[in-house]
Amino acid sequence: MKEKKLPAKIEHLHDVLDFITEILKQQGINEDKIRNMQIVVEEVFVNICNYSYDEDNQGINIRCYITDDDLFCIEITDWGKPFNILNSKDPDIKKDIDDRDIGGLGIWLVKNLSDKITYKRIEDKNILEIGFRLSRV
Amino acid sequence: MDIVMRQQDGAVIIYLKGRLDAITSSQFDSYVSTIFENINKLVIINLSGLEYISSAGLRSMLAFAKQLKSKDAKIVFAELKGSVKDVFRISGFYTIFEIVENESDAIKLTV
Repeated sequence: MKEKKLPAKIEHLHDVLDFITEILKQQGINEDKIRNMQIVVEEVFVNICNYSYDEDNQGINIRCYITDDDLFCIEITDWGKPFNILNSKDPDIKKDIDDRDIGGLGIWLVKNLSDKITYKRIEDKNILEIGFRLSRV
Repeated sequence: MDIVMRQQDGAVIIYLKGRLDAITSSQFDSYVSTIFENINKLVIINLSGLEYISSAGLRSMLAFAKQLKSKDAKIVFAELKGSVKDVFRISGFYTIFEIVENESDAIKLTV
C-alpha cells in the first residue's frame, strides 16, 4: 500500500499522475490501461480542485492497494463539500454537436473506465474508492 | 503537447502529439483560435501521435467543432489509437463525428 498527500490545485495534476503511474508500472500493467486509469484519476482530481473547496483547501490524499480479489484500487480522499459522483446525471452522448453540452464527460469517463466505484462520506471526508480489474500482460 | 499544422488541397490538417489534459487543453484552444481564419471547408485532426485525452481535451474538441459548424466547415478525426480510441468511443464521438482510419481517407472528403 502506498499513499501520498498532495495539494488540490490543478498545477499538481502531473504530480498526482506520476505517483500512480510509478506504482502501475511496477505492477506490469500495459500502457493503454495505465492511461485509462490516469484519465480516471485526472477527472476525480480536477473535480476536487474545481468544486470541493471554497476556501481552506486541505488537498487530497491518494492511496493505492490491491484487494484480495485482485482489484487494483485507487482511493482518493478530500475534506471538502460532500459529493457523490455516483449520483451525478449521465450525459446524453447521442445528442448531435449543436445540442451537446461541451462539458459533463469527466464523471462519465470515470464510470466507464473503471470496474468498481465506492463512495463514502465519513465525518468531514469524501472517500472515493475506484477499482480496476487487472489483466496483466 | 506538440501541435503541428499543414495545409493540403484546401484542408487544414492538425497533428497533435503527446497528452491533451486539463493542463494542456488551453494550449489547443489558443492554438486553434490563431489559425481559425485559415480554415476554409475542412479540418482534419490527426491523432496518431496523441497518447492521452481526458474530458478537458474532449471539451476543447467539442467547442472547436461548434465554432467550425458556425462557419460551415467540417471536422474529421483520423488515426486514433489506444486509450484515445476508447475515450472517443465511450463519449459517443463516433456517433457525432466523422472518424477515419487514415488521414488520406479524410483528405478525399475535400474533393
